Parts: sequence; structure tokens; C-alpha cells
Amino acid sequence: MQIQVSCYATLSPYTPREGLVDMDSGSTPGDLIQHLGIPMEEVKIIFVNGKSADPSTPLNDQDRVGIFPAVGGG
Amino acid sequence: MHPSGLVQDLARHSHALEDYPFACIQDVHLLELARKYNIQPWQAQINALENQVCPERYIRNYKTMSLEMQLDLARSSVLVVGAGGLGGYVIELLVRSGAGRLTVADGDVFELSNLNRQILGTSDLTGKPKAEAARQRAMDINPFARVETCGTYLQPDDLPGLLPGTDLVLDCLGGVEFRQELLQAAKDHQRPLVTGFVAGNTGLASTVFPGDLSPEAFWQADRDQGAEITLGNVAYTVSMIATLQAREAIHILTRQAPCLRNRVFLADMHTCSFQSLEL
Repeated sequence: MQIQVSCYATLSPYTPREGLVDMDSGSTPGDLIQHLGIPMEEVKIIFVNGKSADPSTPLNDQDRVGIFPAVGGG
Repeated sequence: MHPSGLVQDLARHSHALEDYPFACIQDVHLLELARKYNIQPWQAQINALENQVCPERYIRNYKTMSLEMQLDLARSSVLVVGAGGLGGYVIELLVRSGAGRLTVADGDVFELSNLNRQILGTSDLTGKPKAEAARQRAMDINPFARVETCGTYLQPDDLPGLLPGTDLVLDCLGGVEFRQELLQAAKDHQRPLVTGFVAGNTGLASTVFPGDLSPEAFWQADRDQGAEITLGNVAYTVSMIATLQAREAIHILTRQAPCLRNRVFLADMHTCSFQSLEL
């Protein structure tokens, strides 16, 4: 299945080319993070299709995933 | 209660403007009346608005803001925590719009590295306290604003003394530190909080009423681990997010609907894409 991924702030270099990645059916955001090589401890919050999501909830084809590190500047 | 004679004097010193359904008064006349009746300028402003007299400086808020909303704003009290990048712009927008009372807390002084984005910072203020710069700027913009400062970094123990007298908290902190404590204190005191947090091209804002979902997951890190440490903070992201915070604050203070409860606004300034994400 194809997943649309955006990684933000310090994680933006992990955004795949064209923002797209192929994952096995049944994969979770946690699997996706591992696949992209992002250190899990740097991920603070994940959004799937515009809604905050658990890293262990299985993804569906064409889901949009946003991945964020800690952000606190002002 | 209006001082005897003030209502008549307001009528005498105000004037009609074409296309506006209320009278207007110039700053100089309203300040004169404040002196004559021995009241503070902020009090005179409330008296004027209560009598359907609008300080002329606010007429371009109309009709986006009604005179009733202008009065709500004049009577409001906010706590702005942080007078750096976000806080500077938030204070600028609130004071121009007519917010009545601001308590500004910041223990920091300006450094050269602040000047890329902090509107309160100027070359000649390097080394000078940010809270005092905020007060001075507010007074320069709007003599009817009432600004109190706290020139130290707030500690959890300070919040019970500050929150009861405030309608709303603006979290304009720099860094992940203290955000969680401020959020908890706002919740404990049943006060809404409008938060902004940025790093490089990524900017986020959210409104949290007691019991709402909050964006605190973004702040679960040690003080040296926020993305802003690596990416810095740039003027266009900071001012964009401060604008959203001011928008939310003004809507709440004037009894309009906030947009960002249980949500976080994301400005991706790298791609110019903007989303409101569900928490």
C-alpha cells in the first residue's frame, strides 16, 4: 500500500522522495517510522489523515501521515 | 459608575463620523477627560465605550468588531508569558486592537541573536529587559492600555497569584520548558490558554480550555531537545503563529468562537501549506 508522508522540523530530511512510500499491508505508523530510519525517541506525535494517532494503529492505503519531533520555540 | 459630568463631557468632546452608528473621540480629548476626572486612561476608555463613544483609533476594527466586542476587549485582562518572538507580536496585535489589560512576564534581556525576529528588540535595547520593552512599546502604541510587568522568569509558585486576575493566558514561551506547568496551572484555575510553538519553517498554535485535549505531546522533551535548538526561529514563522494566537485570544475575549480547541494549527512555511489538525 502507498502512504503519503510528511516529516516536520528536524525530521523533515526523513520525508521520502515525492512524499510517498510503499509499505506492506497492515503496517503501522511505528513500522513506517522504523522504515524511514527515524529514531523512535525523537518522534513526539503522529497525525494520520489530519488526526492525532497511535503509532500502533494499522494504516490504510493512501493514508496521509505527519510525523513531528519536540517543538517549543518562540 | 461614571464620575458625575463625565457622560456629558464625553458627548461634548466626541463627534459623529459618516457611516458609523456611534460617536468617536480622539485620544487627546479622552486623555484630557481622564485627567479632569482623575481616572486612569484605561478606565476612561471603558467609560467611553459604555456610553457608545468609540476611541477613534479603533474605528477600523468596525464592523469586524462591534462596539460591544470593543468594550469586552477593553475590559479584558490577559497574561502574556514570554515577550520574545511570539510574545512581542502578540502584544503588538492585542494592544493595537484595544485589549485593556496585559500582564507581561519575561525575565530575559535582548541579545543580538533575538533581533532577526523579535519585534520588541532593537539595536539600542540589546542587554535591556524584554518585559520593560513590552511595556514601553505598548504605551507608545496605545495610552489606553494597562500594562503590568513581571521582569523575572515565572515559577510555578507565581501562577496562583497571577491567574485569578486574568481572563486568558497566552503561552509565548521560548523552548519546551515550563509550558506543561503553565498549561496545568491554567487548567487548575479554569482559564483558557492559547499556545504557540515554532522551530524553523514549522509553526504550531492551539487553544486549550480546561478539559480540552492539548498539544503537550510536542513538549515532552528535555529543554535542550526542542527542534528550535537545531533549526533556529525565523521571523515569518514566528509572526504567523503569533497572529493566530492573537486571533484566538481576541475571539475568546469578545465571546466569539475560537477555532483551535482540540486542534493544532500547523503552518508549514517550507511548502506554504496550512492545516488544522485534530488532537
